[in-house]
Amino acid sequence: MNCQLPAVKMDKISNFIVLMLFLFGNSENPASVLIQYRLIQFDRDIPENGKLSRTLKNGKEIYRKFCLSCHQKDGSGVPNTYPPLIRSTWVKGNKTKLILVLLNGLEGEITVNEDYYNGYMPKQNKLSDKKIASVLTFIRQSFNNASSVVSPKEVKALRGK
Amino acid sequence: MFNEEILINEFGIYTQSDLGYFGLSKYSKMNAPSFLKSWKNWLLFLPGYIIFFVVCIYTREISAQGTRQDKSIILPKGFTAVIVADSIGEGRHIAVNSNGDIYISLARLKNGAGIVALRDVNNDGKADIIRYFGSFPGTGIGIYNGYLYFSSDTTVMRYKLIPGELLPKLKPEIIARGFKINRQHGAKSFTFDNDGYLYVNVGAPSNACQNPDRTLHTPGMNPCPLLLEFGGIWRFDANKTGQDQMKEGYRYATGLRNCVALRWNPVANHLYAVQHGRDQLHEFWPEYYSEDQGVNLPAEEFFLLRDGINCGWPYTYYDDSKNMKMLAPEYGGNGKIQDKTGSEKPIMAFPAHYAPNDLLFYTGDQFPPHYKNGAFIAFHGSWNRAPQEQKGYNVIFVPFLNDQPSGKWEVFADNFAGVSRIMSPRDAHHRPCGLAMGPNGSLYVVEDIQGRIWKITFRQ
Ligand code: HEC
Repeated sequence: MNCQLPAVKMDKISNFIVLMLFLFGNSENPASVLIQYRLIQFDRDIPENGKLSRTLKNGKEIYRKFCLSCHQKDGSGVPNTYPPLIRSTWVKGNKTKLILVLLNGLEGEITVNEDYYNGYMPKQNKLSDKKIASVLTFIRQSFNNASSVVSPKEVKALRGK
Repeated sequence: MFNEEILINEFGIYTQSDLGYFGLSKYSKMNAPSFLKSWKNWLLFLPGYIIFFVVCIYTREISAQGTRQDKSIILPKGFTAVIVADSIGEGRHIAVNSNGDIYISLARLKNGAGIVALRDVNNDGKADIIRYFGSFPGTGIGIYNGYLYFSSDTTVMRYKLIPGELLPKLKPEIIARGFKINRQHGAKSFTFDNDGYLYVNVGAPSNACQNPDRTLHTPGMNPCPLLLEFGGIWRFDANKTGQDQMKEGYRYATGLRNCVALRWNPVANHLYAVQHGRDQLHEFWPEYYSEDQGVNLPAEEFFLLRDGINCGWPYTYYDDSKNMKMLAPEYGGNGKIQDKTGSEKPIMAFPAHYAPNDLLFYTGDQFPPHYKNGAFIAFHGSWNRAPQEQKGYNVIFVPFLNDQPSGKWEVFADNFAGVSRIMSPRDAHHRPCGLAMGPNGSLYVVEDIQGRIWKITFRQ
């Protein structure tokens, strides 16, 4: 059985480095080691793997242009201002809710990873169905998330809702 | 046995076990020796694993202890810092009473309270008594005429201080209200002048007055309607209760996006502020601004605010490489057109996106003469320098003569972030946010990640 997701591929050497950094690096905050590791991951090329890798590559470009400045390169967000996409149930969970965040934007009190935010996210409805689908697929398969793809059809069905 | 996450999608079925973290997921594919095929045989390695982990964690503890001092803040020669208290909550601004009692506003409630009071009983710099009170989170805090003033994002209130007691009377009076709920730049930082006035920062709920805000190629609303109620400094009677922003409040200065760093200079007798400059020039106008320009523009502006002044937001921004006020791209600018409206120029500019969150004029006698009447500025640190390295996260100093800077700015306290490269604000261990001077001229710094307070003193 194929046991690897292309987007979350972790080779043995980098895992060993992370483990060692975690254990021997004297960071007060082990999470930051993981964050630094994820940065390396963002900079690394997505492996060639047919159609999915094309979607992920496009998604990464959209992310760079339309999301990165707020949610940051590693998806960690900004404390009290921009919520993280890392392990967020908003990202990993229900696709309808996630698609609507992009189509309609989001404002007001929300909880992400048990942390509270009360901000404003602009709607991204000028992006095409395909672009929204690919950026959502990208964030669902990056930043330690490993969830299913979002298709342009699913986005289309929710426009104007 | 392992927490398997199974994903089914149009590309097939994938599973990712927790073992994947340690690079073991490939074993199911590999032709391992038959000995390893039975999971029971793996248990033979268990004691080895446990010993390895114990040794690792033990070594980590030791090295962490040995290097803890390296992570403390870096100061100029002759200055030392003590940690007054740690983990007090997300500390925003700080006020120190004439008896040394410390009050700090919190960005979020901690123990159900929005204000922390601290007292150092034995004079070693460290807080011995810590008390929580107040029902709202907020930013502004200050002591004036025997009262502790505090602001939530919608109201300025005050608590009567009781001489000798750490906690004030717990029922506040409202001084100024009617500030609209504001999801961006909501902090109502404030300051007092020498003539009984209170000045309140009313930040704009916007980046550059686009509608919808923060979107690609959207022009700015013209004229920007937000300036009627936001984007300026409002003045109130410091001693009068129940004032409303739009009735009793007076718009003292306008065209200011957000000035969390706001302070009356009691020596020059003027109001000063450092503005959070606009964000995302590259993201929304990539045809005019390269990634580098987006990272390095616009400068954060330091203003001397005279009555009636207009500092130009959202129509303009400041380009410190050209020393010019420029027309914002939302209003027809392209990075090359100068602003012609004559909006106020800053008295000094700082690198883009540093996020000035407090300003303090040093009137004490403890520090060397160089610091006398100069300005300390706390930079919360950038987020809009991504994908490049984030910067700021320090306290800087600007020497002053009369009402103007008299030399270049210099970094005063550094290394709050505690990491060598800050790629995301989330990497920083501390983000300096508030400044105050103690009765004998020590400088206090508070930060809002872990909630640490430093007391900085000078010794010959
Ligand atoms: C201008 C800054 C900004 C940009 C650009 C932005 N977001 Fe957000 N995003 C926010 C804020 C702020 C919130 C939280 C809103 C709230 O508090 O109600 C948020 C929330 C979210 C959430 C739900 C909460 C979470 O963290 O999981 C998702 C998912 C998300 N954004 C994805 C995206 C994607 C994908 C893009 C790019 C197409 C994007 N955002 C662009 C600011 C931004």
